[in-house]
Amino acid sequence: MRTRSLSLLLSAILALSFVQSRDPASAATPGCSTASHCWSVLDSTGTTFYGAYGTWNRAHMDADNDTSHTRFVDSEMWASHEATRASSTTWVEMGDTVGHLEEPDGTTYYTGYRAFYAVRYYNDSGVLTYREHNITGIAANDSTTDEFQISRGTSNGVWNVYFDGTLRTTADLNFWNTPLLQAGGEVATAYGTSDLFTMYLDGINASGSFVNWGTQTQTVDGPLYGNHPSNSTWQWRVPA
Amino acid sequence: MNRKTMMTAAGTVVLASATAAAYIGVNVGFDRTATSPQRPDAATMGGPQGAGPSRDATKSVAVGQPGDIACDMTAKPDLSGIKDARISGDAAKNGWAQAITDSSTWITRDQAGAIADKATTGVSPATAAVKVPAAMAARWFGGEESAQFINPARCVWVVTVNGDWTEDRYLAPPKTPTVFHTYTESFDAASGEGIDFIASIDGSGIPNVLTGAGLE
Repeated sequence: MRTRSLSLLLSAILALSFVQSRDPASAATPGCSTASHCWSVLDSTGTTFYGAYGTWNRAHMDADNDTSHTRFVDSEMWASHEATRASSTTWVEMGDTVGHLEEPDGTTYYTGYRAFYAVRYYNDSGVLTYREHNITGIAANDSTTDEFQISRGTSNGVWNVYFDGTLRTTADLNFWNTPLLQAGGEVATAYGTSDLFTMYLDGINASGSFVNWGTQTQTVDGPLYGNHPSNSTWQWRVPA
Repeated sequence: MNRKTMMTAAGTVVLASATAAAYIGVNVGFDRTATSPQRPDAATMGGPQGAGPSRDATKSVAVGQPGDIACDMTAKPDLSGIKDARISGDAAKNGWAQAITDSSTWITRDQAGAIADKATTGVSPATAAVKVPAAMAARWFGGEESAQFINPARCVWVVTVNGDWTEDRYLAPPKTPTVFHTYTESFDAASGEGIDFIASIDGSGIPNVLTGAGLE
């Protein structure tokens, strides 16, 4: 009886270890995928800004080396022309991203750690358009801090995008203010990893001054960590 | 002909204007299963581009589609003007600045089409690819901002896919993603590093290698 019990126990342990070794136990962000992104973000609402400014450390992050085309992890900020998440259709975003592409022969390679921006807008003909641009390759370094700025340009509807203090593009987006800001992490893989990002955030008002965000609320999906330690500051990471 | 030998011959920098390009050399509806032997790359066939029908055109090509423009597969950017230590070293070590001298890994037209095609959920999309200098591609996409980090003469593939693309970045929380019906992307022709991506809900208003629209 005891032998049988011991045998059953050993079998159970073996079975459990087998399950654990095959389980997505290595999936640090289970449930996150290209079809269902996970978020750890801070929102600013109730105040209309004319740009957004943020600084955060270039923390390590990664997406696994699987065969999907678009899996990625981002640490970024958004400036939406619409005032609510539900109504948001046009926006500017910029930040850091890691992902990978797939070769035709099935092998994959990383796109690397990139500073990027993306815009979603209606063009002059009223056609919904999306553009994404990788600014440059950068190396992850938890102690290096980058500057990100999205601010209105000199012509109506034109936005300027700055990375580390240098103008990277001017984009004609046919909107010119932003009542909804957002910043944090976006994870589109079950195997995302990251260190801690600490994001210091400002809104840019009508006179061009950098000021605290408006009403601040947070959204943190289960696999991720988020913390709002002080006014206009957000921390996020993928838990180790 | 030995492909590697041909690819090594690439390097002559001839920055022709888009209007000077003959409208040839684009594959429509490439065979995504065709991987070997690799088809020779039109831009490396020797001599200025646009001098006649491309040998690798597998189907008839509509008037309006651009041909390859001579470019440099190994050109590295001049980073001497970047004073910001946060990026000056990185740019030299990462991404498009990297020198990939093993020409056997350079991306062929078929591979370029297949890479771009990965993003579509559509069935049998029409695809066209053209290899041009980075500066020209940047202009098509509406910005010159890459010039600091990519040598203007460096070869990039610009590929248009007339097929559905479901957006994959958006404001949190995710809403029902929008399906765009045509997209064009550019990536480094040596490394495959992504540079630009643009999608249109109805196919208009974006640089389009299939039709030649927006490639001024």
